[in-house]
Amino acid sequence: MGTLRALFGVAYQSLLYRLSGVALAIAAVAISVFVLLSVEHVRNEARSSFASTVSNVDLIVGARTGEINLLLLSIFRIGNPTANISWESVEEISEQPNVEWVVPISLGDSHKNFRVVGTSAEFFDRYKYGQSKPLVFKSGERFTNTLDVVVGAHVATDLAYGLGDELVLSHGMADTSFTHHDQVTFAVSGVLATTGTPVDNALFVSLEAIEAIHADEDSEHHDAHADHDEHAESERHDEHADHDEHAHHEESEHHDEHADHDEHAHHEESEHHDEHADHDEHAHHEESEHHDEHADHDEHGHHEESEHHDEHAGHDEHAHHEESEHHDEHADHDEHAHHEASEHHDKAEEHGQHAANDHHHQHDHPPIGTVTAILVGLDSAAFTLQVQRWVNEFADEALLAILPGFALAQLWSLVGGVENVLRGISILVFISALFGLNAMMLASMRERKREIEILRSIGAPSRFIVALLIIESMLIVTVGIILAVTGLLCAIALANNLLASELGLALSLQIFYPSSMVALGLIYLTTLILSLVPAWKAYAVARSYSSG
Amino acid sequence: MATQENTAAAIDIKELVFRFGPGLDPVLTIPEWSVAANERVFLQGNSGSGKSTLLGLLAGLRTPTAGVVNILDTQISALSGRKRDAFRAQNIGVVFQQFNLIPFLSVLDNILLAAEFGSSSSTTLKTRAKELLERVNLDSGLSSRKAEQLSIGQQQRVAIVRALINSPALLLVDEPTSALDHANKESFLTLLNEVLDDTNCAMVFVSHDPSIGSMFDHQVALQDLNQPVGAH
Repeated sequence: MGTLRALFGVAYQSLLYRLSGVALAIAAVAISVFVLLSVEHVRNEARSSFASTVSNVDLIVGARTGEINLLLLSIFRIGNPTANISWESVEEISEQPNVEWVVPISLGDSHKNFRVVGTSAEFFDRYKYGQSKPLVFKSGERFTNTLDVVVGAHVATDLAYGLGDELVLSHGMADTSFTHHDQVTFAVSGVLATTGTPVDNALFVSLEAIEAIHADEDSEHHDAHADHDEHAESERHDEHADHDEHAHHEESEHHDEHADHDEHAHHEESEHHDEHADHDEHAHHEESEHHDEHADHDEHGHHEESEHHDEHAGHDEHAHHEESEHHDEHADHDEHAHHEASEHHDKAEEHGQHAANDHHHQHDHPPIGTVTAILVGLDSAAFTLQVQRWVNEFADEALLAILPGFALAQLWSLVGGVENVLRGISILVFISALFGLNAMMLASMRERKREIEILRSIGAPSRFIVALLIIESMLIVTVGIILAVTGLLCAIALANNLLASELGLALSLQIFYPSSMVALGLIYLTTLILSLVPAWKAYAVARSYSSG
Repeated sequence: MATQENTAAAIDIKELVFRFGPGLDPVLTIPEWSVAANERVFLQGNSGSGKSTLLGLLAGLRTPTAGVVNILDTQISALSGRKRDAFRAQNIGVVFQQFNLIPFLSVLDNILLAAEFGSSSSTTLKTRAKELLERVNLDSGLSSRKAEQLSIGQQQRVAIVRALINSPALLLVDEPTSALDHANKESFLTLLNEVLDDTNCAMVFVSHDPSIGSMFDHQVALQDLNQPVGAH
């Protein structure tokens, strides 16, 4: 016992004696362990936060696509909907036994680069994240009117939106549009508290609002081309009213009607797409000179699901050159139609820009009457597989049901490569720190030779000397680890202080995971093994004492 | 325990051969040499003559290539490494020429560390250490100072205390005065002899300097002991 105390006493004094070198070695170890533990911590935090992006949702149902695609689309709102679910299917699913609730999600619109999500008010009750944490309103409440919008925390801070603020939601991001004042404006009815999930970056409106946006947008388009028409303005309003009620049914009919006398079945049509659909019917009556152009739109304006899909596929492919083509064509057309070429050119240009804008933003919104995905809650999780199977075998539509947790894990495993790279780097950093430590110990061997001789002469056994060297390394690593842990805890506390509102989640102070404990164990083991080198050298010195 | 009677010979060497490696000429070939208990021997040898090597063998830090080294009736050359370390700690005090102390330990810790290896009883240890320090004319206030802060002369006196803390029966001293000036040299030797008078400790004092020999009862030249092969 006394020997052990003597051992640690001598080791301690020895380290103090070599303080400058030791301090550097400790710093190197501390930094590398800090990096190692941070990476491990962030990795675990990211994983758990990622895995808890959505909870309490048993299934996510969308049109048949990849599982990860559906997850990315429905939860992370990344990517474009390639197909939609008809409202009939949604209703059928919701009527299934064991299905407790369904929350539809309709994507396809955006506002200043933030996604607009059309959903039902129930979303705010059903969507949970983390450990079943509900969405909380920082201010205001859920949408009650069609023209209410609920904004995510990040959207609110980024765009400085507060309760009651008015904003224009439209397909084309009308913030630069001269028709701004004509559009349907939404009022912020609620601001959500930070969640650290994609909810923060989204705006939420009712499904009715999504329809309204599209109707409004048609009008906007109409405006762009028809504002020289004195009647356009007043008529637009009528038309708009019409829309909300009759939107779908008129369209297919309308399509047939105009596709015939439209000779240009250009690609551009797909670009003109749905947004023009509704109003064309009305518009072309007022503006006969715009006939061709609107015929184009009409062609595009069908709402049959299957066709819609195809069209979108084509649309995506041709997006770019279509824009310019469309622009030209449009300009030409305007020239033909009107004699004030320059004025119309301007407008056309504007329109072209508008189209480009549309492209840039997401506007593959589902046709009215369909949704992009639905979140499904079941009476009991026990029915999950059963319902999933039923959905996957749904006869009327090709649907896909995924288990969010499972899909999240799958997605994480894709992202996982990065974490392994980080881990690898931190391990390399640590090993280099250990080599530095060893180099320091070895470099000190020359001066320590005499100390070892003295220790041997007073009867210190060889193992005492070997143990001394190992313990010194261990002490350096231990102090380094203590500093690293303290530093990490401070860093987390600081980060939580500064970034809590930004991140929406506090990093846990629980920084010890099984994996990091294993890492610490391995650190000691590696230190032990590496310290055998100077220790062995010391032993050799001890054995060959007074050979000079 | 300072008055313990050592009847056994402090050193008894027979047919000792030591070479640094197989095939090399032996550094030492000593057919016979013994030092009685309590005897103080001055061993003169030129540098490179193998003095330090002989001390290493006597201290059990080295083992002979052939022959027997008995210290206090114990055949130290036949002990295992660990036992030799323990034997050395308990029975042999060693003082080198200059660097005797662990520089980063305090004077007292240097002494106590030696006591630790010698398994001396700890109750009276500090008192005994302070007594010995006073005996070699060191202020007890120095005991908490780091060894490296002391002068060479002070360090050498601490080294004597440390060597004697376990009441060894044999003190091996290797040119302890080489770093001291003449006046300090004499006073050091006088002090060493005085301290040893209180004990029953034999001493082998090694130096290249024959002038010191006059202060010892017995003087031996290493050349006379060492009879390398071919010298006859």
